Amino acid sequence: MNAFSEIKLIAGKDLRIEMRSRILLSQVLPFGAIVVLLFAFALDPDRGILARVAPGLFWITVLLAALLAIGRAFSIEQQHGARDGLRLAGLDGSSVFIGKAIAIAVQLAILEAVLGLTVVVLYGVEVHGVVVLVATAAAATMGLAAAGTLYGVLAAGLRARETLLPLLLLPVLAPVMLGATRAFEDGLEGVPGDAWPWVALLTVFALLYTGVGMLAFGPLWEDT
Amino acid sequence: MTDAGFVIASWVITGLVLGGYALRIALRTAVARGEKTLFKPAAPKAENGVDR
Amino acid sequence: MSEKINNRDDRSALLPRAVGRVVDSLTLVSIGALTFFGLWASPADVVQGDAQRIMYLHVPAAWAAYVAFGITTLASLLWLWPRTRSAVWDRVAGASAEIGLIFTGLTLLLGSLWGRPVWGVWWAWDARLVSTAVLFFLYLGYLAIRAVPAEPIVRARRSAITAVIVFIDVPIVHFSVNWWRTLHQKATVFNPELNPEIHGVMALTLWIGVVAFTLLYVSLLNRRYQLAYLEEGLEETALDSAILQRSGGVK
Repeated sequence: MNAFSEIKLIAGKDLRIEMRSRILLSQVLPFGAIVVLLFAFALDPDRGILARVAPGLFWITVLLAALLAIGRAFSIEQQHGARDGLRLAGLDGSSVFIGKAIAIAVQLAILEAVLGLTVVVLYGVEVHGVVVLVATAAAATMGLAAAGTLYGVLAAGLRARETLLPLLLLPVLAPVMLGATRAFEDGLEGVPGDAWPWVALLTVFALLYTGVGMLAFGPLWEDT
Repeated sequence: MTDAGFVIASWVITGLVLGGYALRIALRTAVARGEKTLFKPAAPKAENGVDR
Repeated sequence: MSEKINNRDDRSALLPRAVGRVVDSLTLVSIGALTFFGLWASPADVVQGDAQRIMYLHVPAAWAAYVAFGITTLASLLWLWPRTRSAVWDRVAGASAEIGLIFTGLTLLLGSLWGRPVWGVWWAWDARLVSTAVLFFLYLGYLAIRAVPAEPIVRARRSAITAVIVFIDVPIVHFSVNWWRTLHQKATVFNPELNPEIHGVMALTLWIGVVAFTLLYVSLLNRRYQLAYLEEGLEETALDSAILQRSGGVK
Protein backbone atom coordinates (compact mmCIF):
# COMPACT_ATOMS: atom_id res chain seq x y z
CA MET A 1 0.00 0.00 0.00
CA ASN A 2 1.50 3.34 -0.90
CA ALA A 3 1.50 6.40 1.33
CA PHE A 4 -1.35 8.04 -0.51
CA SER A 5 -3.78 5.18 -0.03
CA GLU A 6 -2.70 4.87 3.63
CA ILE A 7 -3.54 8.53 4.16
CA LYS A 8 -6.86 8.09 2.40
CA LEU A 9 -7.61 5.09 4.56
CA ILE A 10 -7.00 6.89 7.85
CA ALA A 11 -8.74 10.12 6.86
CA GLY A 12 -11.66 8.14 5.45
CA LYS A 13 -11.93 6.06 8.60
CA ASP A 14 -12.00 9.10 10.91
CA LEU A 15 -14.50 10.95 8.75
CA ARG A 16 -16.70 7.89 8.48
CA ILE A 17 -16.77 7.56 12.26
CA GLU A 18 -17.75 11.22 12.43
CA MET A 19 -20.44 10.78 9.79
CA ARG A 20 -21.99 8.01 11.85
CA SER A 21 -21.59 9.42 15.34
CA ARG A 22 -22.25 13.06 14.36
CA ILE A 23 -20.41 14.37 17.38
CA LEU A 24 -19.20 17.40 15.44
CA LEU A 25 -22.65 18.35 14.19
CA SER A 26 -24.59 17.58 17.33
CA GLN A 27 -22.10 18.75 19.98
CA VAL A 28 -19.12 20.77 18.76
CA LEU A 29 -21.03 23.03 16.37
CA PRO A 30 -23.74 23.92 18.90
CA PHE A 31 -20.95 24.59 21.42
CA GLY A 32 -19.38 27.08 19.00
CA ALA A 33 -22.75 28.69 18.35
CA ILE A 34 -23.45 29.23 22.03
CA VAL A 35 -19.99 30.78 22.49
CA VAL A 36 -20.79 33.20 19.65
CA LEU A 37 -24.03 34.04 21.43
CA LEU A 38 -22.30 34.52 24.80
CA PHE A 39 -19.83 37.00 23.32
CA ALA A 40 -22.83 39.17 22.45
CA PHE A 41 -23.91 39.06 26.10
CA ALA A 42 -20.42 40.02 27.23
CA LEU A 43 -19.90 42.84 24.74
CA ASP A 44 -23.30 44.51 24.50
CA PRO A 45 -24.54 44.26 20.87
CA ASP A 46 -25.89 47.82 20.78
CA ARG A 47 -22.57 49.59 20.83
CA GLY A 48 -21.19 48.27 17.56
CA ILE A 49 -18.27 46.57 19.26
CA LEU A 50 -19.23 43.13 18.02
CA ALA A 51 -18.81 43.88 14.32
CA ARG A 52 -15.42 45.49 14.95
CA VAL A 53 -13.99 42.64 17.00
CA ALA A 54 -15.77 39.89 15.06
CA PRO A 55 -12.54 38.42 13.54
CA GLY A 56 -11.02 37.89 16.98
CA LEU A 57 -14.18 36.44 18.46
CA PHE A 58 -14.59 34.15 15.46
CA TRP A 59 -11.08 32.74 15.79
CA ILE A 60 -11.33 32.31 19.55
CA THR A 61 -14.52 30.33 19.02
CA VAL A 62 -12.86 28.22 16.33
CA LEU A 63 -9.89 27.60 18.61
CA LEU A 64 -12.08 26.41 21.47
CA ALA A 65 -14.12 24.21 19.20
CA ALA A 66 -10.93 22.87 17.61
CA LEU A 67 -9.74 21.71 21.03
CA LEU A 68 -12.85 19.56 21.29
CA ALA A 69 -12.45 18.21 17.76
CA ILE A 70 -8.80 17.31 18.37
CA GLY A 71 -9.57 15.59 21.66
CA ARG A 72 -12.30 13.67 19.89
CA ALA A 73 -9.96 12.60 17.08
CA PHE A 74 -7.87 10.70 19.62
CA SER A 75 -10.57 9.53 21.97
CA ILE A 76 -12.06 7.49 19.11
CA GLU A 77 -8.84 5.48 19.13
CA GLN A 78 -9.27 4.62 22.80
CA GLN A 79 -12.34 2.46 22.40
CA HIS A 80 -12.47 -1.20 21.43
CA GLY A 81 -8.69 -1.45 21.17
CA ALA A 82 -8.79 0.67 18.01
CA ARG A 83 -5.36 2.07 18.76
CA ASP A 84 -3.72 -1.34 18.96
CA GLY A 85 -5.46 -2.44 15.81
CA LEU A 86 -4.23 0.62 13.97
CA ARG A 87 -0.71 0.16 15.27
CA LEU A 88 -0.68 -3.47 14.22
CA ALA A 89 -1.85 -2.55 10.74
CA GLY A 90 1.74 -1.66 9.92
CA LEU A 91 0.97 1.78 8.55
CA ASP A 92 3.65 4.40 8.31
CA GLY A 93 3.57 6.89 11.21
CA SER A 94 3.68 9.90 8.92
CA SER A 95 0.74 8.56 6.89
CA VAL A 96 -1.35 8.16 10.03
CA PHE A 97 -0.40 11.72 11.00
CA ILE A 98 -1.38 13.21 7.63
CA GLY A 99 -4.57 11.16 7.51
CA LYS A 100 -5.72 12.24 10.96
CA ALA A 101 -4.72 15.84 10.28
CA ILE A 102 -6.75 15.87 7.06
CA ALA A 103 -9.79 14.46 8.87
CA ILE A 104 -9.45 17.18 11.54
CA ALA A 105 -8.94 19.86 8.86
CA VAL A 106 -12.11 18.81 7.01
CA GLN A 107 -14.12 18.98 10.23
CA LEU A 108 -12.62 22.36 11.11
CA ALA A 109 -13.43 23.69 7.65
CA ILE A 110 -17.09 22.76 8.09
CA LEU A 111 -17.02 24.28 11.56
CA GLU A 112 -15.49 27.52 10.28
CA ALA A 113 -17.99 27.81 7.44
CA VAL A 114 -21.00 27.44 9.73
CA LEU A 115 -19.60 29.59 12.54
CA GLY A 116 -18.44 32.22 10.03
CA LEU A 117 -21.95 32.47 8.66
CA THR A 118 -23.35 32.71 12.19
CA VAL A 119 -20.93 35.50 13.08
CA VAL A 120 -21.71 37.43 9.88
CA VAL A 121 -25.44 37.23 10.51
CA LEU A 122 -25.52 37.76 14.28
CA TYR A 123 -22.81 40.44 14.53
CA GLY A 124 -23.80 42.28 11.35
CA VAL A 125 -20.42 42.03 9.66
CA GLU A 126 -20.05 43.33 6.10
CA VAL A 127 -18.03 40.85 4.12
CA HIS A 128 -15.21 42.15 1.91
CA GLY A 129 -12.18 40.49 0.37
CA VAL A 130 -13.50 36.96 0.19
CA VAL A 131 -10.31 35.69 -1.48
CA VAL A 132 -8.15 36.80 1.44
CA LEU A 133 -10.60 35.39 3.97
CA VAL A 134 -10.67 31.99 2.30
CA ALA A 135 -6.88 31.88 1.90
CA THR A 136 -6.43 32.84 5.57
CA ALA A 137 -8.91 30.26 6.73
CA ALA A 138 -7.26 27.56 4.60
CA ALA A 139 -3.76 28.30 5.92
CA ALA A 140 -4.93 28.66 9.52
CA THR A 141 -6.93 25.42 9.32
CA MET A 142 -3.89 23.54 8.06
CA GLY A 143 -1.82 24.92 10.92
CA LEU A 144 -4.49 24.13 13.52
CA ALA A 145 -4.89 20.60 12.20
CA ALA A 146 -1.15 19.87 12.00
CA ALA A 147 -0.23 21.25 15.43
CA GLY A 148 -3.43 19.84 16.89
CA THR A 149 -2.74 16.32 15.64
CA LEU A 150 0.82 16.46 16.92
CA TYR A 151 -0.19 17.60 20.41
CA GLY A 152 -3.24 15.39 20.32
CA VAL A 153 -1.10 12.26 20.06
CA LEU A 154 1.25 13.63 22.69
CA ALA A 155 -1.59 13.96 25.19
CA ALA A 156 -3.48 10.89 24.02
CA GLY A 157 -3.58 8.10 26.54
CA LEU A 158 -2.33 10.33 29.35
CA ARG A 159 -4.34 10.45 32.50
CA ALA A 160 -5.06 14.19 32.52
CA ARG A 161 -5.37 14.63 28.76
CA GLU A 162 -8.57 16.70 28.84
CA THR A 163 -6.89 19.41 30.88
CA LEU A 164 -3.41 18.94 29.47
CA LEU A 165 -4.34 19.42 25.81
CA PRO A 166 -5.56 23.04 26.10
CA LEU A 167 -2.58 24.02 28.24
CA LEU A 168 -0.19 22.57 25.67
CA LEU A 169 -1.99 23.64 22.55
CA LEU A 170 -3.19 27.18 23.20
CA PRO A 171 0.25 28.81 23.64
CA VAL A 172 1.52 26.98 20.57
CA LEU A 173 -1.47 28.18 18.56
CA ALA A 174 -1.11 31.78 19.76
CA PRO A 175 0.63 32.85 16.51
CA VAL A 176 -2.15 31.22 14.44
CA MET A 177 -4.79 33.06 16.42
CA LEU A 178 -2.87 36.30 16.03
CA GLY A 179 -2.14 35.91 12.32
CA ALA A 180 -5.61 34.74 11.32
CA THR A 181 -7.30 37.54 13.28
CA ARG A 182 -5.11 40.26 11.75
CA ALA A 183 -5.54 38.87 8.25
CA PHE A 184 -9.33 38.75 8.69
CA GLU A 185 -9.36 42.32 9.97
CA ASP A 186 -7.31 43.53 7.02
CA GLY A 187 -9.51 41.62 4.61
CA LEU A 188 -12.74 42.98 6.08
CA GLU A 189 -11.39 46.52 6.21
CA GLY A 190 -10.67 46.34 2.51
CA VAL A 191 -6.86 46.34 2.73
CA PRO A 192 -6.09 42.79 1.58
CA GLY A 193 -2.53 43.83 0.75
CA ASP A 194 -1.75 43.94 4.49
CA ALA A 195 -3.24 40.51 5.00
CA TRP A 196 -0.98 38.50 2.70
CA PRO A 197 2.12 38.60 4.96
CA TRP A 198 -0.02 37.08 7.71
CA VAL A 199 -1.25 34.40 5.33
CA ALA A 200 2.39 33.67 4.54
CA LEU A 201 3.14 33.36 8.27
CA LEU A 202 0.21 30.99 8.74
CA THR A 203 1.42 28.91 5.81
CA VAL A 204 4.94 28.69 7.24
CA PHE A 205 3.46 27.60 10.58
CA ALA A 206 1.36 24.93 8.88
CA LEU A 207 4.26 23.57 6.82
CA LEU A 208 6.63 23.56 9.79
CA TYR A 209 4.26 21.63 12.01
CA THR A 210 3.34 19.25 9.20
CA GLY A 211 7.04 18.48 8.76
CA VAL A 212 7.71 18.01 12.47
CA GLY A 213 4.52 16.02 12.84
CA MET A 214 5.50 13.58 10.11
CA LEU A 215 8.82 12.97 11.84
CA ALA A 216 7.60 12.83 15.44
CA PHE A 217 4.20 11.19 15.14
CA GLY A 218 5.51 7.66 14.63
CA PRO A 219 7.51 7.34 17.88
CA LEU A 220 4.84 9.16 19.91
CA TRP A 221 2.11 6.98 18.46
CA GLU A 222 4.03 3.84 19.43
CA ASP A 223 4.19 5.00 23.05
CA THR A 224 0.58 5.95 23.67
CA MET B 1 5.46 54.04 46.31
CA THR B 2 8.70 55.81 45.47
CA ASP B 3 11.19 54.62 42.87
CA ALA B 4 13.47 53.40 45.64
CA GLY B 5 10.55 51.41 47.02
CA PHE B 6 10.12 49.64 43.71
CA VAL B 7 13.84 48.87 43.60
CA ILE B 8 13.81 47.41 47.11
CA ALA B 9 10.68 45.44 46.28
CA SER B 10 12.33 44.01 43.16
CA TRP B 11 15.36 42.87 45.14
CA VAL B 12 13.21 41.35 47.88
CA ILE B 13 10.97 39.53 45.38
CA THR B 14 13.99 38.18 43.49
CA GLY B 15 15.44 36.93 46.77
CA LEU B 16 12.18 35.31 47.80
CA VAL B 17 11.56 33.62 44.45
CA LEU B 18 15.09 32.32 43.91
CA GLY B 19 15.75 31.62 47.57
CA GLY B 20 12.44 29.83 47.88
CA TYR B 21 13.19 27.74 44.84
CA ALA B 22 16.68 26.81 46.09
CA LEU B 23 15.22 25.94 49.48
CA ARG B 24 12.59 23.76 47.86
CA ILE B 25 15.25 21.86 45.94
CA ALA B 26 17.29 21.40 49.12
CA LEU B 27 14.26 20.14 51.04
CA ARG B 28 13.21 17.71 48.35
CA THR B 29 16.80 16.48 48.08
CA ALA B 30 16.88 15.81 51.81
CA VAL B 31 13.60 13.90 51.54
CA ALA B 32 14.87 11.89 48.58
CA ARG B 33 17.97 10.96 50.55
CA GLY B 34 15.90 9.83 53.46
CA GLU B 35 17.32 12.49 55.78
CA LYS B 36 13.93 14.03 56.26
CA THR B 37 10.47 12.63 56.07
CA LEU B 38 7.29 14.45 55.21
CA PHE B 39 4.99 11.77 56.50
CA LYS B 40 4.93 10.77 60.11
CA PRO B 41 5.31 7.03 60.02
CA ALA B 42 3.28 6.62 63.21
CA ALA B 43 -0.50 6.36 63.49
CA PRO B 44 -1.12 3.78 60.82
CA LYS B 45 -4.65 3.15 61.96
CA ALA B 46 -7.44 2.42 59.54
CA GLU B 47 -5.71 3.62 56.44
CA ASN B 48 -7.94 3.50 53.38
CA GLY B 49 -10.73 2.37 55.62
CA VAL B 50 -9.07 -0.93 56.37
CA ASP B 51 -8.11 -1.71 59.94
CA ARG B 52 -4.95 -3.65 60.28
CA MET C 1 15.40 7.69 60.76
CA SER C 2 18.63 5.88 60.04
CA GLU C 3 17.85 3.25 57.46
CA LYS C 4 18.85 3.92 53.93
CA ILE C 5 15.86 4.51 51.73
CA ASN C 6 17.68 5.42 48.55
CA ASN C 7 20.15 3.14 46.85
CA ARG C 8 21.45 5.77 44.49
CA ASP C 9 24.98 7.04 44.86
CA ASP C 10 24.95 10.26 46.77
CA ARG C 11 27.70 11.84 44.72
CA SER C 12 25.26 12.24 41.90
CA ALA C 13 25.36 15.93 41.07
CA LEU C 14 26.03 17.03 37.51
CA LEU C 15 29.35 18.61 38.41
CA PRO C 16 32.18 17.06 40.43
CA ARG C 17 31.80 17.97 44.06
CA ALA C 18 34.76 20.39 44.18
CA VAL C 19 33.63 22.20 41.03
CA GLY C 20 30.12 22.43 42.42
CA ARG C 21 31.42 24.02 45.61
CA VAL C 22 33.45 26.58 43.65
CA VAL C 23 30.39 27.46 41.52
CA ASP C 24 28.22 27.81 44.63
CA SER C 25 30.65 30.15 46.35
CA LEU C 26 31.24 32.20 43.21
CA THR C 27 27.47 32.51 42.84
CA LEU C 28 27.11 33.89 46.35
CA VAL C 29 30.04 36.29 45.88
CA SER C 30 28.73 37.58 42.56
CA ILE C 31 25.21 38.05 43.92
CA GLY C 32 26.71 40.05 46.76
CA ALA C 33 28.69 42.11 44.25
CA LEU C 34 25.57 42.65 42.14
CA THR C 35 23.64 43.90 45.15
CA PHE C 36 26.45 46.25 46.11
CA PHE C 37 26.94 47.63 42.61
CA GLY C 38 23.27 47.66 41.72
CA LEU C 39 22.02 49.38 44.87
CA TRP C 40 24.97 51.56 45.87
CA ALA C 41 27.93 51.87 43.53
CA SER C 42 26.14 52.56 40.27
CA PRO C 43 24.69 56.02 39.71
CA ALA C 44 20.97 56.62 39.26
CA ASP C 45 19.85 56.96 35.67
CA VAL C 46 19.47 60.51 34.32
CA VAL C 47 16.04 59.84 32.82
CA GLN C 48 14.60 57.10 34.99
CA GLY C 49 16.19 57.81 38.32
CA ASP C 50 16.48 54.95 40.77
CA ALA C 51 13.85 52.79 39.06
CA GLN C 52 16.37 51.91 36.39
CA ARG C 53 18.25 49.80 38.96
CA ILE C 54 15.64 47.08 38.44
CA MET C 55 17.32 46.50 35.08
CA TYR C 56 20.27 44.92 36.89
CA LEU C 57 17.99 42.05 37.91
CA HIS C 58 15.50 42.06 35.05
CA VAL C 59 17.92 41.75 32.14
CA PRO C 60 20.14 39.06 33.73
CA ALA C 61 17.04 37.05 34.71
CA ALA C 62 15.79 37.17 31.12
CA TRP C 63 19.25 36.17 29.90
CA ALA C 64 19.39 33.21 32.28
CA ALA C 65 15.91 32.11 31.17
CA TYR C 66 17.02 32.02 27.54
CA VAL C 67 20.18 30.11 28.45
CA ALA C 68 18.10 27.61 30.41
CA PHE C 69 15.62 26.99 27.58
CA GLY C 70 18.50 26.76 25.11
CA ILE C 71 20.13 24.07 27.26
CA THR C 72 16.80 22.23 27.49
CA THR C 73 16.57 22.14 23.70
CA LEU C 74 20.17 21.07 23.30
CA ALA C 75 19.86 18.32 25.89
CA SER C 76 16.62 17.09 24.29
CA LEU C 77 18.30 16.90 20.89
CA LEU C 78 21.21 15.01 22.43
CA TRP C 79 18.73 12.57 23.92
CA LEU C 80 16.96 12.13 20.58
CA TRP C 81 20.25 11.53 18.74
CA PRO C 82 20.73 7.76 19.23
CA ARG C 83 24.50 7.91 19.66
CA THR C 84 24.35 10.37 22.54
CA ARG C 85 21.15 9.08 24.12
CA SER C 86 21.47 8.96 27.89
CA ALA C 87 19.24 9.52 30.89
CA VAL C 88 21.65 12.33 31.79
CA TRP C 89 20.29 14.50 28.98
CA ASP C 90 16.71 13.82 29.98
CA ARG C 91 17.39 14.99 33.53
CA VAL C 92 19.34 18.02 32.32
CA ALA C 93 16.48 18.98 29.98
CA GLY C 94 13.85 18.74 32.71
CA ALA C 95 15.95 20.48 35.35
CA SER C 96 16.92 23.28 33.02
CA ALA C 97 13.35 23.88 31.86
CA GLU C 98 12.12 24.17 35.43
CA ILE C 99 14.83 26.70 36.30
CA GLY C 100 14.12 28.53 33.05
CA LEU C 101 10.45 28.76 33.99
CA ILE C 102 11.36 30.24 37.38
CA PHE C 103 13.60 32.81 35.70
CA THR C 104 10.94 33.63 33.10
CA GLY C 105 8.36 34.17 35.80
CA LEU C 106 10.82 36.34 37.68
CA THR C 107 11.55 38.32 34.52
CA LEU C 108 7.84 39.03 34.07
CA LEU C 109 7.44 40.02 37.72
CA LEU C 110 10.43 42.33 37.61
CA GLY C 111 9.34 43.79 34.29
CA SER C 112 5.99 44.60 35.84
CA LEU C 113 7.66 46.21 38.86
CA TRP C 114 9.82 48.24 36.52
CA GLY C 115 6.98 49.21 34.22
CA ARG C 116 4.91 50.74 37.00
CA PRO C 117 7.26 53.64 37.89
CA VAL C 118 8.64 54.10 34.37
CA TRP C 119 5.63 53.59 32.09
CA GLY C 120 2.96 54.20 34.70
CA VAL C 121 1.37 50.78 34.15
CA TRP C 122 1.98 47.29 35.51
CA TRP C 123 1.65 45.73 32.11
CA ALA C 124 2.07 47.12 28.60
CA TRP C 125 1.34 45.29 25.37
CA ASP C 126 4.93 45.54 24.40
CA ALA C 127 6.13 42.90 21.93
CA ARG C 128 8.82 41.56 24.21
CA LEU C 129 6.51 41.33 27.23
CA VAL C 130 3.87 39.48 25.27
CA SER C 131 6.26 36.97 23.74
CA THR C 132 7.88 36.37 27.13
CA ALA C 133 4.45 35.62 28.59
CA VAL C 134 3.70 33.13 25.79
CA LEU C 135 7.13 31.58 26.36
CA PHE C 136 6.21 31.10 30.01
CA PHE C 137 3.08 29.16 29.09
CA LEU C 138 4.86 27.10 26.42
CA TYR C 139 7.32 25.77 28.96
CA LEU C 140 4.65 25.39 31.60
CA GLY C 141 3.03 22.97 29.16
CA TYR C 142 6.33 21.18 28.65
CA LEU C 143 6.74 20.67 32.39
CA ALA C 144 3.12 19.49 32.64
CA ILE C 145 3.92 16.79 30.05
CA ARG C 146 7.02 15.84 32.03
CA ALA C 147 5.01 15.54 35.21
CA VAL C 148 2.80 12.79 33.76
CA PRO C 149 4.11 9.48 35.07
CA ALA C 150 5.21 6.87 32.55
CA GLU C 151 7.94 4.37 31.83
CA PRO C 152 11.27 6.25 32.01
CA ILE C 153 12.09 5.73 28.34
CA VAL C 154 8.59 6.68 27.19
CA ARG C 155 8.60 9.76 29.37
CA ALA C 156 12.04 10.78 28.16
CA ARG C 157 11.10 10.41 24.50
CA ARG C 158 7.82 12.24 24.94
CA SER C 159 9.56 15.06 26.83
CA ALA C 160 12.40 15.39 24.34
CA ILE C 161 10.03 15.61 21.37
CA THR C 162 7.86 18.13 23.22
CA ALA C 163 10.90 20.26 24.01
CA VAL C 164 11.81 20.40 20.33
CA ILE C 165 8.24 21.22 19.24
CA VAL C 166 8.00 23.95 21.84
CA PHE C 167 11.33 25.42 20.84
CA ILE C 168 10.25 25.62 17.20
CA ASP C 169 7.32 27.75 18.29
CA VAL C 170 9.49 30.32 20.08
CA PRO C 171 10.75 32.18 16.97
CA ILE C 172 7.27 32.05 15.38
CA VAL C 173 5.72 33.59 18.48
CA HIS C 174 8.47 36.16 18.72
CA PHE C 175 8.20 37.09 15.05
CA SER C 176 4.40 37.28 14.90
CA VAL C 177 4.09 39.30 18.09
CA ASN C 178 6.80 41.72 16.97
CA TRP C 179 5.07 42.12 13.65
CA TRP C 180 1.72 42.70 15.29
CA ARG C 181 2.98 45.40 17.67
CA THR C 182 5.02 47.25 15.06
CA LEU C 183 2.80 46.86 12.01
CA HIS C 184 -0.42 48.03 13.58
CA GLN C 185 0.73 50.35 16.30
CA LYS C 186 3.95 52.20 15.92
CA ALA C 187 6.10 51.24 18.88
CA THR C 188 4.25 53.12 21.57
CA VAL C 189 6.34 52.17 24.49
CA PHE C 190 9.69 53.64 25.19
CA ASN C 191 11.87 50.64 25.73
CA PRO C 192 14.65 51.48 28.15
CA GLU C 193 16.54 48.29 27.41
CA LEU C 194 17.37 49.63 24.00
CA ASN C 195 19.08 52.66 25.43
CA PRO C 196 22.48 52.46 23.74
CA GLU C 197 24.11 54.91 26.12
CA ILE C 198 24.87 52.53 28.90
CA HIS C 199 28.48 52.63 29.92
CA GLY C 200 30.88 52.96 32.78
CA VAL C 201 29.77 51.63 36.12
CA MET C 202 26.28 50.87 34.83
CA ALA C 203 27.57 48.57 32.10
CA LEU C 204 29.88 46.92 34.61
CA THR C 205 26.97 46.33 36.99
CA LEU C 206 24.90 44.82 34.22
CA TRP C 207 27.76 42.48 33.34
CA ILE C 208 28.12 41.45 36.97
CA GLY C 209 24.41 40.71 36.92
CA VAL C 210 24.71 38.52 33.83
CA VAL C 211 27.64 36.62 35.36
CA ALA C 212 25.84 36.24 38.70
CA PHE C 213 22.66 34.88 37.15
CA THR C 214 24.58 32.54 34.84
CA LEU C 215 26.48 31.15 37.83
CA LEU C 216 23.24 30.87 39.77
CA TYR C 217 21.74 28.99 36.85
CA VAL C 218 24.63 26.51 36.79
CA SER C 219 24.47 26.08 40.55
CA LEU C 220 20.71 25.47 40.52
CA LEU C 221 20.98 23.12 37.54
CA ASN C 222 23.60 21.13 39.41
CA ARG C 223 21.32 20.74 42.43
CA ARG C 224 18.13 20.18 40.49
CA TYR C 225 19.84 17.51 38.42
CA GLN C 226 20.93 15.72 41.58
CA LEU C 227 17.39 15.89 42.90
CA ALA C 228 15.99 14.39 39.67
CA TYR C 229 18.53 11.58 39.92
CA LEU C 230 17.74 10.85 43.56
CA GLU C 231 13.99 10.94 43.02
CA GLU C 232 14.29 8.43 40.19
CA GLY C 233 16.10 6.21 42.66
CA LEU C 234 13.26 6.61 45.12
CA GLU C 235 10.75 5.64 42.49
CA GLU C 236 12.53 2.45 41.55
CA THR C 237 13.98 1.14 44.80
CA ALA C 238 12.37 2.71 47.80
CA LEU C 239 8.72 2.15 47.07
CA ASP C 240 8.57 -1.00 49.13
CA SER C 241 10.37 0.44 52.11
CA ALA C 242 8.25 3.57 51.97
CA ILE C 243 5.12 1.48 52.11
CA LEU C 244 6.62 -0.48 54.96
CA GLN C 245 7.39 2.69 56.88
CA ARG C 246 3.99 4.18 56.40
CA SER C 247 2.36 1.00 57.54
CA GLY C 248 4.12 1.04 60.87
CA GLY C 249 7.82 0.68 60.26
CA VAL C 250 7.79 -3.02 61.04
CA LYS C 251 10.57 -4.75 59.25
